[in-house]
Amino acid sequence: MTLLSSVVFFPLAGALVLLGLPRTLASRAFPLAMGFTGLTLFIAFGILGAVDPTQPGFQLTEKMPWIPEWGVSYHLAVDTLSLPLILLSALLFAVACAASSQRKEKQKEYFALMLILETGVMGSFLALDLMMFYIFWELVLIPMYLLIGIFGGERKNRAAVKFFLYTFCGSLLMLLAVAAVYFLSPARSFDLLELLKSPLSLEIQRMVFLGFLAGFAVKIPVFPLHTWLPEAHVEAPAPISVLLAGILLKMGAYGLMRFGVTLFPEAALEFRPVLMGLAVAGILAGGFAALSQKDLKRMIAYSSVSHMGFVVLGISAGTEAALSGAVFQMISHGLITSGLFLLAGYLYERTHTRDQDAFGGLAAGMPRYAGLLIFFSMASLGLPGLSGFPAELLVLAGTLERHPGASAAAAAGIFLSAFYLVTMLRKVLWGPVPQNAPVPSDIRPGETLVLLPLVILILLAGICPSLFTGLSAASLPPLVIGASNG
Amino acid sequence: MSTLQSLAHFKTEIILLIGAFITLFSDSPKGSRFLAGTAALLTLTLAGVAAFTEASQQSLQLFGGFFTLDGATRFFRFGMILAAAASVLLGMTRGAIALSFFAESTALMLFLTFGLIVLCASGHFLTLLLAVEMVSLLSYLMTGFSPQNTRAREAALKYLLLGSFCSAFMLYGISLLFGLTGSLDFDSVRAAVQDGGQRTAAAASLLFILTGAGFKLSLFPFHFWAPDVYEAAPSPVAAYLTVAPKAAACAILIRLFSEVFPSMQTFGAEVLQTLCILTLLAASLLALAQTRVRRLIAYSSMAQAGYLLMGLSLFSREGLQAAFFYLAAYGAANLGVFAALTALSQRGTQDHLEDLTGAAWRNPFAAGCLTVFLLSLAGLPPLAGFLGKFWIFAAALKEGEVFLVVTAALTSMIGIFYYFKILRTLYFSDPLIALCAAPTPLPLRILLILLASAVTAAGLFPSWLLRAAESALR
Repeated sequence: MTLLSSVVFFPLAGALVLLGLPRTLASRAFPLAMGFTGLTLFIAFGILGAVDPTQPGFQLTEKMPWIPEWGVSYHLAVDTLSLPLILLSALLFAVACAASSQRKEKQKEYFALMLILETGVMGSFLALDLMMFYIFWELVLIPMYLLIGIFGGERKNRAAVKFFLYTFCGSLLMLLAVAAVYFLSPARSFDLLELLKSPLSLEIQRMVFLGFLAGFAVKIPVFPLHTWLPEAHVEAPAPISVLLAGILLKMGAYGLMRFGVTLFPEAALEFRPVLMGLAVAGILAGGFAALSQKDLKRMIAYSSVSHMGFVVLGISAGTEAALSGAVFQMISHGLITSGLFLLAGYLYERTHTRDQDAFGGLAAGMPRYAGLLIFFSMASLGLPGLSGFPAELLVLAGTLERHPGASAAAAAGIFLSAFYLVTMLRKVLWGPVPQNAPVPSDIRPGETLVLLPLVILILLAGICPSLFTGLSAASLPPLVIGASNG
Repeated sequence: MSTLQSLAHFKTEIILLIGAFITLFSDSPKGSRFLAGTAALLTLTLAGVAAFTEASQQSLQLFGGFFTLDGATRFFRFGMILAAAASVLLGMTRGAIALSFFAESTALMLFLTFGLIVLCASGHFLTLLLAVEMVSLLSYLMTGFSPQNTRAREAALKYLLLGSFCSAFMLYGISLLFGLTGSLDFDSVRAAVQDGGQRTAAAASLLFILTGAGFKLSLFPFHFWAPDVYEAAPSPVAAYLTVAPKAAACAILIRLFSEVFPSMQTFGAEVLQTLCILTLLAASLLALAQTRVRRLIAYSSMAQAGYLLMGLSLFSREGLQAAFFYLAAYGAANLGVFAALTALSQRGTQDHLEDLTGAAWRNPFAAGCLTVFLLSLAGLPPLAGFLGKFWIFAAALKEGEVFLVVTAALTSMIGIFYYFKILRTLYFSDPLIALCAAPTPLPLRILLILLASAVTAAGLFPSWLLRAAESALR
């Protein structure tokens, strides 16, 4: 089977095609890119069709030697943990691409970078060889750095550098940990499955787990390493924010589950209180920070920190329900935040401001926009019937059993999110109209269409959560932390 | 082996010498670079073929032990020839070097290549000394090759003074050794040092000789000439000088420690690791403050030498193999940087970083190549520099050199700052002056494509380069 390789490398091929496009045809970059992301989504559906979700373990494995001298292999495989993330990524890339249809300048480079990014993302989610995983993981950084730096707002330099340095420092520690695993494990291999056969001693696990955690925690981001996120989000164009919040943050959480917890279960158990504490701190700190933001995008960015805290909480609680909730929350947050960022972007395109105080009474002039903003905000604050509710509920319920304190504190985070989202809605949609307030036109049908798949999926996940939890259930038992010694 | 028999294995070097003379006299009266350039490239191709097809694979002592033809010599010889070919191609570009000096400087580059190969292969301190002097004199000459350029003259003078100083130290070290052992042959010196009680004197002579190698590698505190020379020398010369002499210095370091001073590897490792840490820190911090591109690249190549030294100083199989791999990756990337900068530079600019503002939108091809080279130097996957650096770090971790690795990791992070300073300038703003897309001349275009694909291919499929590095250790 070459289904996995094609989902990874098809976007890269697209990027090369785009870069080779002569300048005169640059205006064709958008339809081409749309075609490539669309076809990638199609391949992702092909993978969904080929995978048996009831089966635990890896499927559709593609493995061959790559650097035999160093025990590095080309090893791709999908399981029910990575499958939902592959689908989410393919979907969000297509959405982000569609949302960029109005881009006028440097189109070719913009879409090519986006496609390279997609290759990095897909590779990270599918690689089972540590070296390969690291290469794809880093491959994500450069295009994102350039996308923020070239196409970003006024303070783009600072945001791009900050994004890169934070994630690179984390990655470097992870890289040293990868090297240590290679030399310290008797397996002398980078292959996840080989490494699992010979568990490491607790002392080594502790050291190495921290290295991996550094890489993943920056990306998720775990409090207090989250400070790069608001700046990057504010400066990036809306579709890039979608990719950043919707997918890149998930890479950290995915890595923590796939490599961190799986390879070093005992160290994960030992660090559980720390991780859990940081998760709760992130939920609350993100919530409070969101509360005090005037900038719409900055508020959504901080709410991301808060919501990703639930994912970390779920992973660290490590019960099956909590893990299932964590995976669900990744998907749900990916869908909801993408919608919110796109909506904020639409408003910015029309008014060139993101300041909440600059708006008021938008509901009257923009009924469609208002409806969508309410929908996504309600989903974000966890209204039953939409995807945020079952996700956060699962995490809280899974945590409650053994860690009632953490669960209660995290629940407070949900109240916070209700508070800042409703305040925002009230101010922007119905509040008093400030002087010189812009009167933007309502969103076009095309823009609504971009959001439509997100709306449908959020509704579907909210009404019928078992559809989504069932998708990932089979691969969760190995991730349960401290199953035997309670 | 007798002289006549030796000559049969000396084909590559003979071809280089003859070719250098032919190049020197092929200065075309009409003022074109084509004739001399082709002569030099042809010479290098022939030499490369001769080196590649050489029948015997075992280690040979040519000319009565003066020239050691072993795996390391073969590896470095081939590398030198490739680097020289890249520099000649770069020199054939208009503007890279003054037309009136092209034939002479190209011929000197071939002589320099010859000298460097002899340096790598020396099996006797006399060969070593002669080769070092030949390489140094040629380097001084080539640096100052543009008489109108006062900066180049100043750089050459600085190079000459500091170089002579370091050569003198080296000479003193060698004479000390001769006094101790009564011989200059590597094998007899080793035997004498190993069982002799004169450890302190031998250590002192080793330190003096290391000064010479440190100078060529531009290690801290022997680096003061490097920024000036790399900045002021004509691009092809600077490109070649940042790569080939460093490779030769690595080769001679390995040879000294494996053939002459195997008994002092522990002491040598301490000295080299101290130098390595100092160099990494000094180079990274100094690079941060630079506003001229070439100067920045000079400090960057100093830092790169630090990583190389880190691999060498482990004296382990993995460390050496990684260092060889890294050397090849560094060489290709650094030659590429100079080539890409030549393509991006505009007439009348002074190499300031801001002259490159928005250059990516003027010449996306050259800027794209430059990005690949810089990312490889910064050690980002999937490029060759990443694998090399990773393997050096891993080898050091394996030997338990945690402090060394932490320092190197730290300087890699600083490296991100200064390499990305260039990337940011290239991409994040629009060009200051609206210029039409500047086309890249054909030789330069070929060179850039070759080097960029080499850097990428060695990162994606490193097995062939690893095998080559392995054969160098045999």
